Amino acid sequence: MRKVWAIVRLTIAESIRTRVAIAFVLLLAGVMVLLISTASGDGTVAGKIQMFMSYSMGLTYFLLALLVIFLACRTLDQDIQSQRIDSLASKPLARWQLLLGRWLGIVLLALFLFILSMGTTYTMVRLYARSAKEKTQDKFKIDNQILVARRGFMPPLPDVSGQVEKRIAELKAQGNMPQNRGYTDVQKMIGDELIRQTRTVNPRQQGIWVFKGLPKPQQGEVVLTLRYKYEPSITTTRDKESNLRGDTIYGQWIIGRREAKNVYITSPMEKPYRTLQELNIPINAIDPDGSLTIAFINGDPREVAVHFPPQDGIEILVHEGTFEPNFIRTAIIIFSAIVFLTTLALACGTFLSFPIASLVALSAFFVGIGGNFLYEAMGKFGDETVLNTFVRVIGGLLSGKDVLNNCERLISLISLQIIPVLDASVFTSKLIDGRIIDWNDVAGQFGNLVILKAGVLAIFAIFVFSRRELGKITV
Amino acid sequence: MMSTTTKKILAFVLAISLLTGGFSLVGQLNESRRSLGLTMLELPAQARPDLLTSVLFSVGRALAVDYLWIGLQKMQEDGRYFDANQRSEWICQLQPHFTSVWIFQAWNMSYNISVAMTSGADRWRWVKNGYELLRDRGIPLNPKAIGMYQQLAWIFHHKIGAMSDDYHWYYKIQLARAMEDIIGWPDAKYDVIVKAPETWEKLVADPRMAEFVEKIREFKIDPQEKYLYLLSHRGEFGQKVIALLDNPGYAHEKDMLEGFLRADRLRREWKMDAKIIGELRKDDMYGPLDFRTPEAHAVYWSYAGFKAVGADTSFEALNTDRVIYGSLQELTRRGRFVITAEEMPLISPDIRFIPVLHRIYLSLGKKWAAAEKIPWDGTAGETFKDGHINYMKKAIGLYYQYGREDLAKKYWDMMLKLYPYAEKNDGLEAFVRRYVREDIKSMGLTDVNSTVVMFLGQAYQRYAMGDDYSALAMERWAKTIYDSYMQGQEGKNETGRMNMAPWKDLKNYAIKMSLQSLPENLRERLRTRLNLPPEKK
Repeated sequence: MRKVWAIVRLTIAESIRTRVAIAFVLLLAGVMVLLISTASGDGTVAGKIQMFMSYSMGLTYFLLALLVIFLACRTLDQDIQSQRIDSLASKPLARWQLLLGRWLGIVLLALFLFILSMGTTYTMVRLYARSAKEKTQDKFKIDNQILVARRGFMPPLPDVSGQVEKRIAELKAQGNMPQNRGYTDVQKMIGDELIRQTRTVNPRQQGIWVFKGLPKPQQGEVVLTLRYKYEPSITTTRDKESNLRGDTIYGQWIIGRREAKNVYITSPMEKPYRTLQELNIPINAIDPDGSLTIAFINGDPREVAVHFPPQDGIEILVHEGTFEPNFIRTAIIIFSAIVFLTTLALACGTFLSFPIASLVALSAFFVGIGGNFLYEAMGKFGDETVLNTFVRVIGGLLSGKDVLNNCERLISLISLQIIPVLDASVFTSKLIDGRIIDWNDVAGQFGNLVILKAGVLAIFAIFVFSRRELGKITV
Repeated sequence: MMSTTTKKILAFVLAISLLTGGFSLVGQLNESRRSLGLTMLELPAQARPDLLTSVLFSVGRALAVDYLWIGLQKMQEDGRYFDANQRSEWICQLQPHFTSVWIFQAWNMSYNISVAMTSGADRWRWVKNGYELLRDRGIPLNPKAIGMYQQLAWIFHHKIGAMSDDYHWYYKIQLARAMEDIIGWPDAKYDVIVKAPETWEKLVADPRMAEFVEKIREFKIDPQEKYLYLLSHRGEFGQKVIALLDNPGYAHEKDMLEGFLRADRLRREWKMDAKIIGELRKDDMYGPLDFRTPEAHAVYWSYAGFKAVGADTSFEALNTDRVIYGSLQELTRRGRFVITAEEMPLISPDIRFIPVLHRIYLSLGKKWAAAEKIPWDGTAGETFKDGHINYMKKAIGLYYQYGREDLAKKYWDMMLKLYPYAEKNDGLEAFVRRYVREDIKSMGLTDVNSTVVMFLGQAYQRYAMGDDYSALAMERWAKTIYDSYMQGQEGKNETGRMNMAPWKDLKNYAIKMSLQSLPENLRERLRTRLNLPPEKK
């Protein structure tokens, strides 16, 4: 291990000597100062905290990712170009030890900078939070919706499998089964429609949902949040929707059972649709057995059926933990991506020259950070699964139709399947919304990025580097 | 033969001379470009380094705009607004001369994001973000885009001025409070604001003013920072300071300094020009605009747009005209605006705007006839005639209710002369009754009842405030509606199910409601004036 540590020290010393690390520290410090001086958010302290956290964590990740890619791609190339590798190779140092030392050096340097930046972020967030006036809505939001860890609960989706099978049997009996769709597709289509009906509230009707397994009621301040988003149902005609003044719908919420003491009833509210709304309610609305009944009364006078999309239509957020552990867990997840990128870049550096290795690693990084967006934009074909999409694209290629387009999609699909999603904003968004990122998330990301993907890359890198002819010029 | 070195020196000197000459002409050339209207915008003080992004991103700008726009849309769908203001500004800065983008983003903040908020303060902040984006950033970069002025005016006229938003009273109160602090209230200082010089240098160029300012400084009071505070908090300063303020020898200087400081705040905080306000408030322009009301701001920005653009007959210009007359209509209906100590808004019509808007309608008729190259027939023209007729009917009704039968008669005659087909010529009295009846025709019993009670309530509130003239008008209005409704029920309603309560009962109910809603001092006053027993403590 002493040999590895020697390489680690060498790597860090090189980074400092070549002023690359210093340049990045200065850049990071500059970004922090700029953010601190300009972050204003929406004019509230809560907004300022959210904006500052979002940008400081996002930019730290971005800059550190560039730093590790640059260092990792450059280090082996420099060793070979400067022929320093010859002196290292002649020493009793295995090539895997050299790789491990380089990797560890870069990771430790990045970790130091990361801790520095996250520490500044945390300190500033706490300072901003302290500047909010007591007993204001702003302060309430900071304490109950941002600097907390809340778990989201969705109403359970009903089991409609029996109804689906019944409906399919009816369709078959009537000879009305869609000819151009597979059995699974029809099953899914009918299932979705039945679930959609359970999430739709007709005019002058009420929709009731029961949440189970919520934390037991507690005393004290409001710590329960109902997040909802509705929209005119799919059956709403265009003319009818155009009548909805200001894209709003009237409705009223009843939280808790009507007959219970702790029922909470809102006044009828006109709220914009297709926009998430939050409603703070007393936590004692939860029944002693951990269940919570909520009802929505569709009071819109324009006779519009209201639909709550299954993915984000109704959600209850319950306080579960504090901000600090959540912040640390988010930081671990972000740093896992940095570790993955270091490994990827180093692996590229084992068989490619610095410019090409950087290009490959940077391309992978950009595909990774745009992963979610790209997947939605290019990778998916409607509701099809990835496998079905893949089969369809291959089929298209084999039939010789629309070759260019199918090639493009195939490359996108493969890239998106191989390159993990490296978009840190998925987690920072949760953090700044006060949503919990639990240890399962951390284990999942760490396992996927560091153990699995970085592990495979490391084995590949060691395999390639151990067999590489060091005297040979690479391009 | 000249040596190479000499040639180089001469070339260098020549280059320097030409460059110096060129630079010295830049100012003059820019001035000419400005005066001849050859430049899109004056090199603005507002041009910040971040505007360079549009140049720096010349290759990837479309991508950056797409990224920001999609992100904004997504954030909005997710109910996360903390970054919306910044992103909107970036989107606009990346395409600074694409006016539709500024208009959309301002509208999005003022209309879409604001209604997603749950408190008045939060909503007001987003409404403000919207109009400030246009006013502070968009218009300075696109001073000739009438559409931007129109949208800005529309936000004031409709979002703040109309009653469609649940929190419209909150907006109106916030705007009024902010303006009261600047223009002065209850004695608005328009006269001195308008007369004040534009710059501090011009102000203190007058030796008497310089002397007055120096005397203030002798008390260690910074006149630019503290003078307005000093005027409103005289008691906090010593006798000598008060003596200086009360010195009749400095009365003019005192007014000028106050006017300058107020105009300066208008310029800095609201980007409004006191001189334009002066122009607008003239009798032959838009009359006694009260800049605590959103409608006055709407008129200001519409007018500022026309002033910047000049004669414009585009569709956007037509819409801008519509904002002007729409705002003046609202001022006629409820232009008098008072906020009680309990933050309760009280509104009432302001009939001073009737002749103003009548004149505006006719001038619009003339303007658009000229634009369409058709002879002007002396009316508001095809586009505006229906609005004008309806407005004149409203005006006649209001004058009548305010006890100004002479003016009601004058407008009645005028309406029949301009638009003989507007009404049956069977006399003013008959018209008023018919007008009221038609107005309430579509109302059910509940609507009529609440309208009558509302007018009676207004009457007693004004009676409590000592506005007897207007209180009487309100009571007459209530009685006219009541009588019209009851006449309409004759022969139709034998069981009496649809009858209203007796007039006397309605009045008693309105008194009771007024006593519940008025602040304590006004309650006592109303009790005294109506000979009611004092309130039980």
